[in-house]
Amino acid sequence: MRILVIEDEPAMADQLRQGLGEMGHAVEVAPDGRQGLHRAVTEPYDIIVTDRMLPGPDGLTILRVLRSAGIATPVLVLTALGEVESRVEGLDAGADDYLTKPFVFEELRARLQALARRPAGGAETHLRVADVEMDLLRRVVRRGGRVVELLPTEKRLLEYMLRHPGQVLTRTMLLEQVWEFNFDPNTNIVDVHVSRLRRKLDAGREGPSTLIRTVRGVGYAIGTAG
Amino acid sequence: MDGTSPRRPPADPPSPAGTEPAAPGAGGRASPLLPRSFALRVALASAAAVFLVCLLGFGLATLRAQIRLESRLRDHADSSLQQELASYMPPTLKQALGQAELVDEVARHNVNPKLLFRAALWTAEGALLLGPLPGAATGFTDCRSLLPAGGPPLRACGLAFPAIEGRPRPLILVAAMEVTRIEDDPLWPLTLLLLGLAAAPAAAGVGFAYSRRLERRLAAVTGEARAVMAGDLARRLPLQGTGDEIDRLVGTVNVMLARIEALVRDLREVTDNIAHDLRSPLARTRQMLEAALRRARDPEADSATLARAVAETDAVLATFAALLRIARVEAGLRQAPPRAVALSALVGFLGETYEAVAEERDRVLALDVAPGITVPGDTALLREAVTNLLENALLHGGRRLCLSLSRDAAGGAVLAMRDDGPGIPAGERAKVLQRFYRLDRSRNTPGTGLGLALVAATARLHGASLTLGDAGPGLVVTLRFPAAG
Repeated sequence: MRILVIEDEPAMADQLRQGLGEMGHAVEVAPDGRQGLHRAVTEPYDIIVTDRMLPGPDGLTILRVLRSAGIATPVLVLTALGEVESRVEGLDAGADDYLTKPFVFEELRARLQALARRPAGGAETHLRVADVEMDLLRRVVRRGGRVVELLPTEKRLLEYMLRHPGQVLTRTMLLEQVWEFNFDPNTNIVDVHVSRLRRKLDAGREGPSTLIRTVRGVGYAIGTAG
Repeated sequence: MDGTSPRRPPADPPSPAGTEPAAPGAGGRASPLLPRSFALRVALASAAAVFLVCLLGFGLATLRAQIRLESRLRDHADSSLQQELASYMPPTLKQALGQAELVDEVARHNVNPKLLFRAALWTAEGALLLGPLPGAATGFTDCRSLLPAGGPPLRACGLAFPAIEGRPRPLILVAAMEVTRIEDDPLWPLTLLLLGLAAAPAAAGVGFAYSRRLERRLAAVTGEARAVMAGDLARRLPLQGTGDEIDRLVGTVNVMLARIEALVRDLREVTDNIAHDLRSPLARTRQMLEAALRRARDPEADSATLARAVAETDAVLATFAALLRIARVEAGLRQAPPRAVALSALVGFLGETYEAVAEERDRVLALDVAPGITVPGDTALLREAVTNLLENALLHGGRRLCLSLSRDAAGGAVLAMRDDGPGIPAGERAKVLQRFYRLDRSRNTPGTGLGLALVAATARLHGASLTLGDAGPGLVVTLRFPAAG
């Protein structure tokens, strides 16, 4: 993928260039808002990663300019610690995702993957991964044709996972998307609910559970990697 | 050293603080002719006022007294003249005497030193028979002609003698008498001046003494205020106990100082706690990394060390994040216009989420959520607050937990988190709402010690009351939202 990184802090810019490069992406770094905006408008990128606070036009300004110019390149906004409300602000301005610095690199990788494969806003009524099917209108979940009884929370969790098949979903991503938590709870609610979901989906089946994989130290993935 | 020394001599203000308060006075509109001291200015002003009052007041009073006295003297002269005249010439005599005898009588009278008045006698036509008075005009025109111009003031009284036998023409007798004159005292203005000059210093003295007292009070207040400025927040401004305007002002300022002191103390405690809570994990991490650096490279052990270092750092970052959120909530920065938050749905969803977590931990979370309750507010903050209450109960409470949402009699929403754990002693309930306060027994459980502080800040932002009570056994935390409208 071709990724534009707009980041004025040299250490962070280097880290992003190196980390994303190792993942096999072509990374270009713009050191301020002016250059970043210029490149974002004139060249095609698959993903733009921009800092929120920048010299020149800041991240949100760049975002608004891009969106008003009809450029729909997925944008991930990086913000400093504690700017809780900037999340809402960023999403309002048209950001596709948001990540607080400092972050674990795995977290960024998972989010970029999710962004790259974001479906073009389909109006599907059914989600299907392997033999799991979810009827979005009736909120009914079936596995191998048999109805699986799930609690509303578990359905929300499953729906989000089904929308991102094969992708690694970090605990933070799940917390943000399913529970709308933009803080870290002190209990392992993601793990508890994923294991319940797994138990209910696997009920009455033989052999090891393979539908929902645990990615050690990062999060979970549903279905086969692909 | 300067933080610990509780008292500084107020007479010796530190130079930066000492120069600053003088500036407004020096740069203000004060005239260069007037002294800077308030007391001196009051003294000068009152002296000038008293001096003027002396001159004007005493001058006017003297003038009026003089006028009245003169009028009294004139009246007195008139009445004594009439009396004298009447006794000297009773009507019978007046009737009887002939012209020659009358002239003789008057002439004799005029040389009698015992009598106070002198008289002149005219014919009705105006011919002077006897007289004149010294300086009086000859010839009878009118009474005024009797009065010598520039002479002593006279009072005159006339008596008519009709024509009778032996007195062929009517005669007119005019008697005149000098009025005692009040001499103008040439020294009187000087006396007045001296009086004024004598009174002015007295007034100045009284004014000075009074305002000096005031000045001293203000100086004492200023001194204490400077001590506070210098950092001794325990100081209070001195009260006189009279309850006057200054006392009331000083009292208000003292209340303000107490509030500031409490806030600063709170802040200091928080800072100390932050320092402690952040330093410990950082110190641990450093020690760990240093030890790893010293020993021989071993990929497996190094990975473990690094993982632990990351975990410790994450804990520090989590604490920072929580602190910043509380600070922001407290500063009201997230004061987006409140929107209707479907509290029932929110609490129900969180309750369902944590029912599973409780079960996992071998606990029971009961939910009792009345449907359809909304409150105006911030969904994200309320979500975090309720989550904190739930996690608090899970981590510190007992085995049976209950989260309930209902309406009180007034229609306000009431959220209650109940557990059957050890509870919190009544004396410590207020403290656990402070940042970083942790009961001794919970030192080793996970958490930043900031959960309830954030709940408290969120409650304040929503105008809700937060109370910690005894669930007998256990703790019940209650959030009461005000009824709408």
